[in-house]
Amino acid sequence: MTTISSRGAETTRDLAGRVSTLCRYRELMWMLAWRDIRVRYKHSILGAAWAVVPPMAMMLIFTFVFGQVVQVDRQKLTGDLTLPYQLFAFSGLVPWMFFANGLTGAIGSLVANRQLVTKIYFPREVFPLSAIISAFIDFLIAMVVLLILTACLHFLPNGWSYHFKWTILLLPVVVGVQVIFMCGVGLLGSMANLFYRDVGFLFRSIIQLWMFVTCVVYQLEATAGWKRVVIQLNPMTPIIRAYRDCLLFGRSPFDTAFVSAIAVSITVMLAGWWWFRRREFEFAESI
Amino acid sequence: MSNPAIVVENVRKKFWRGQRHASLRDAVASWFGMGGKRSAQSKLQSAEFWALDGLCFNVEPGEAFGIIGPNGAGKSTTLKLLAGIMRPTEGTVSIRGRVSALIEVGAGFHPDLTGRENVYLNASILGMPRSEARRKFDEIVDFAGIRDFLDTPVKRYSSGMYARLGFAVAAHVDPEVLLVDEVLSVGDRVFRAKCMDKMRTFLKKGVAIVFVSHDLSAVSTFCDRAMVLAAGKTVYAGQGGQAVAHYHEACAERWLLPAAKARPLATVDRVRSFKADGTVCRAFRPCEPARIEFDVRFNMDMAHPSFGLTLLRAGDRLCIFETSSTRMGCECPPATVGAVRRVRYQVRLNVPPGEYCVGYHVRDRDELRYAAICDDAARFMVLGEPVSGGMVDLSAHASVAAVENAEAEPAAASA
Repeated sequence: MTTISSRGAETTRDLAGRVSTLCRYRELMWMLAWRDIRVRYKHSILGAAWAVVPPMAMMLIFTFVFGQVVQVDRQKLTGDLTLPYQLFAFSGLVPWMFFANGLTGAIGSLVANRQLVTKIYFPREVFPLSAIISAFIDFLIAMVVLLILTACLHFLPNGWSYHFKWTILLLPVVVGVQVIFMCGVGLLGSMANLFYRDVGFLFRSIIQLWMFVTCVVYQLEATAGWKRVVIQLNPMTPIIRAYRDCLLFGRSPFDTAFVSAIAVSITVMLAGWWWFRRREFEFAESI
Repeated sequence: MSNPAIVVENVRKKFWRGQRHASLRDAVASWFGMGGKRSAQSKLQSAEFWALDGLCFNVEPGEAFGIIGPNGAGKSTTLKLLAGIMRPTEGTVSIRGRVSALIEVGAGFHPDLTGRENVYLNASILGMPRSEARRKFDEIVDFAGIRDFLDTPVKRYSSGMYARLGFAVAAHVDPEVLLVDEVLSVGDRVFRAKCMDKMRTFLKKGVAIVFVSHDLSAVSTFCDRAMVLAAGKTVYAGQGGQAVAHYHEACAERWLLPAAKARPLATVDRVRSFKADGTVCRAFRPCEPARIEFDVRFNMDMAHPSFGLTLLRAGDRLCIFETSSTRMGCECPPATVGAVRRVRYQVRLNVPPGEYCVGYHVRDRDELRYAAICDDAARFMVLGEPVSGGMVDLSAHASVAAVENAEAEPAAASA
């Protein structure tokens, strides 16, 4: 027997119960993600290629800007002259686009699914999480392209001096950390956007700025002073660096910065989830 | 019974009129859970009101419970509380078993996806595992009757097809508690009958159904018990047919007779039934001629008065006859304040034995608002052997004879 009072349903109050409820709804999460993907590419000619085109285009833009327009010192920009800037940028842009698209989707998800939020009950976490999953599918497609590009350069003569190393096996861990961080921000953001639509508008500007305070298209060493401190405090910086460490540089990504990013991600996720659950019952009335 | 599927105890739900936050200060305060302007206590702030106030009811497994009431009475809010979409401000809602809510069919449909895709999507939204959805797919499609349009995006569906598909999916979820909110109104008669059939099957399986509808005859025939809500309060709870009668009163109070309490626009008295010979009588034989009379005193001017008569079967409040002087083409002179009219109807009581209620209404024929209305002003009995059922007595005679050599006769019907 489920009892719902002003304090909410008993079964949803403890974390373990909530996790098992969410597990029961994992199929729904996939269905909603699948729906998003279906709808996104249904009326397009290129279809799923659109998962790869935007990071590719961004990569070309930055290559052009830093290479032709402003002529930035390559050594400073990437820390390695043998590494083509295109690959450096693409390896940062692919996870970054996942981050930006996943969060934009997650933050708008509760409002976009107003019909379902006000009519049918299931754990509301399903909405932001499924938005992240749908961005994740795009990410996987782009990731395959990134791996292929890396492999191609690997076999080019007198090019790049690095090889695929065992560290590539650590990639799933890095992805996992990023997903946890995104879940935390997504849960908080979707809830905040439901109460105040300002959040969604604000986020669109913030995500632009956020990209430049994350080392997506340049390396951390290219920055200096207090700006560098700010960039280091941003958990996305060590996460993006960790992608490059695993994939391009063959280094273990577990430095202090990345470990603290893991701690921050888990904290944000748990805090976001706790807050989300606390306010969840108001969603249907406030939307 | 001691094991209800739904128990609602002293539920109150507070709503807030208007915008959520008046100022940024309130907004910030409420973000940190300090309440802001919204008080969690049982007191009402100026812009708050009780959408539901002191609701109590139980629903047993295998029982259909109706909720009726005028718009804004709190019916849908009640269902949302039962579905877990909202929490009560006070009181508790307890539910045993898997809940399926038909609060809005096809709520989870995406217009760009095809019917086939939406079946799977909606099934999963309603909590049906994909394997089960795949197994029941054909059944669902046949129930909805849209097999030819399975690969059409649902944005091109008619609203009837949309509702049919939505209901078909929801009806195959196998709930233990089913919440139905005014969803059948878009379907055609055949589909509605199908849905009612499906719901009766659910009842037999022990599903508890909460049924919200404005289709009063559906409520009185389908629901074992029903509750009338008006402005968040329970006006009546009990047998389905009785509830329908109270619904009329609740509606009339709010809309049709706004000034009734201050001063009625017309008063009706001396509602009586007579035998053919002119004596007052309250017991008749089947098919006997009778006269029904009532006096109307006007407290207002009325240009085109119209006097209506209704006869209800007392047991289930089923309307067996209704008419009005306007419909019968009877000329009624204009009435002024203080005028008295005696209305007479000659009828032949072609009805099966039982108890019947006499009702009346008075209104201007060009207006919707009644000056006076009542559906149980007096009663009479029809006595006799219950040789027939249904609503009317068709003076039937029965005979049975043996038929020899039936094949030899020309079959006119099949020709």
